[in-house]
Amino acid sequence: MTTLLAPGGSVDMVRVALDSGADAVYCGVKGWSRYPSHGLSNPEIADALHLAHDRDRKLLLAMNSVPRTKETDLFLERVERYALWGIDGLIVNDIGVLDLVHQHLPGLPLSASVGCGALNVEDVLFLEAMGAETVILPWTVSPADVTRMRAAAGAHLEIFVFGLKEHIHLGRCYMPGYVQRMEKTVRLDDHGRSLVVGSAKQGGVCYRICKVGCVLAGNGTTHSTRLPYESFFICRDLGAYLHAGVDLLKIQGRDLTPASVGALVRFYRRLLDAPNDPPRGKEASTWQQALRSITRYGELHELQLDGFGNPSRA
Amino acid sequence: MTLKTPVELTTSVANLDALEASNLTPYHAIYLGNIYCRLYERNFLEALDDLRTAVEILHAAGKKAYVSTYAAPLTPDLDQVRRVLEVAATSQADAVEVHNLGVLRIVAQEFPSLRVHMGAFANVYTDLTARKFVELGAARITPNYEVSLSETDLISSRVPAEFEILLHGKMSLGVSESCFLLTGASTLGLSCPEACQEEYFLRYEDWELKSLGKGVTSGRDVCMLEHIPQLLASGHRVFRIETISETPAYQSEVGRVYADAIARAEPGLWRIKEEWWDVLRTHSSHGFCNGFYFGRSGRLYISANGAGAALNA
Repeated sequence: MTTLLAPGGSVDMVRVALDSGADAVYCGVKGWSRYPSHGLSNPEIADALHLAHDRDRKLLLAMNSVPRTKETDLFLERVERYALWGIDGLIVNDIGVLDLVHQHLPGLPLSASVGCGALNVEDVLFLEAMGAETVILPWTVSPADVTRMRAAAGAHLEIFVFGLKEHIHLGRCYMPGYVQRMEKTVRLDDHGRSLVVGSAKQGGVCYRICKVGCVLAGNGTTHSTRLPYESFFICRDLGAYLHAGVDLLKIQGRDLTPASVGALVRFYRRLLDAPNDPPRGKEASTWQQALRSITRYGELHELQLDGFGNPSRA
Repeated sequence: MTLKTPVELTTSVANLDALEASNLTPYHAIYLGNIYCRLYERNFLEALDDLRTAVEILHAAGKKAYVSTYAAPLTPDLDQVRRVLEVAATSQADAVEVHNLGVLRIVAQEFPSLRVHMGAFANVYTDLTARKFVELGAARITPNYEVSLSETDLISSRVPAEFEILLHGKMSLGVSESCFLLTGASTLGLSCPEACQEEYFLRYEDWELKSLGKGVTSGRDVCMLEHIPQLLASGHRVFRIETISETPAYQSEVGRVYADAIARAEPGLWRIKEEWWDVLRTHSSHGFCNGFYFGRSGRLYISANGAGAALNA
């Protein structure tokens, strides 16, 4: 059965996502996840966990800000605490951290974040061997790639069905900190944790420098330009991904409003419940209009497969 | 200066034309191949006869030959990666540079005799990851360029491996699935494979990045000349001068400056020659920075004596 995984940027968003049909919700941990302002405190995590479990759904936590070498014990202490609370999974962003948590808590389901950089079938096998129960794949991975991964690996495969399409591979972009980077201390219980603002890996805040209009200069010419940057959703090709064997569909957007997340979840619930009968005609127009009103970065385009099996923009 | 463990100065070369045009005298070892793009003209990672020839040339010159691998291979690229590794093994290359987890898995399982260097895109941010790579056979680690020198020193004190430091040149800041220069081809009139042979910079207000098509690097050159004594005192012995998108003159002259500087890095006698700065300035189109080594924004230049502002003036 395919799991529909929705963002939980707040307790209210968790509630709306679950009531709209999400099978599971992922929440950031304040101070330990990307997008610190959308991370949940411990009381909020406890509330979110109750909301999910009361409905027989799952709650995953994202601790995808990589700990410094001296923060490893603090990180592990937090993970052990949440495991005792009964979380249903943890998303991590570093293979050393993945291995560490798997060694200490072998029963805790682990997801290798898209930031771990899985792009090919051998990456999936590598991460599976490190203890990943789920490997999260970027939008560049086609259904044909998923088919090969499914045949070779036992790990669950997760794709984004709504998210942000950036020029640089996720997990391999270090541009923001080149422009601006600063240390920021976050109080966590009795501990101070240093986030590196400007580093997607170390602090989770990205300045989105790829959004700015800039000039490309060279060879005696200058041109106004910007790096490719837009929101996407998958609709007509969802069946191809499902047929290829994806296990989880993730909606990106802890920074969206609860109402927007609710609309997205209802859309994908509708698709998942009738995968062979995607919205057509007036229903399709209504949904597309609703989705376009949700996007917060760039234009929203449907991601479709071109004739060569590569994702392209429709 | 006599060091107990000798210094290794490395650089990178993309194809046989570049290798034949280069004077690699200052360098002890060369990374072969363009890690960003399969369509780069006569890329060693595609032109495998050229790759074999390059390894022979370097060995005959008494230098080590390291074979790079792609930074972000998709599943369909893996067959070519295996062919590259096969050539590296049969031509007795001295190591392969690996940026990708899956490629590390292939090397460990199918080419276990190959020495492995983990590249900057392998995302080593922690001692945990570095140790795991060593367990899987890596002999050398390049920490991600976002990692500060103090954090690198902490990691290297805990992990038994060589650690490679970028000493000079444009640092990698990203790799993409699509070529940015060709994406704008309709307006720029650029075509493949010529587009990335030219120098193109993305500029916005007071920063710039260099576009290599599928790769993005810093606009400024990371320059650690002033900090060589500190690096040596911290135990670092493997240094890279990144020249994959630079001219042969840049490669040889900048390399010569650093080889000279390292040889003269005697404690108490260290003094930077003005002529070294002259050479570095000549080859730097957009000024200098220190990357992320001092925990600051990557485009800044940090200098104990305030020379940074003057260098970038």
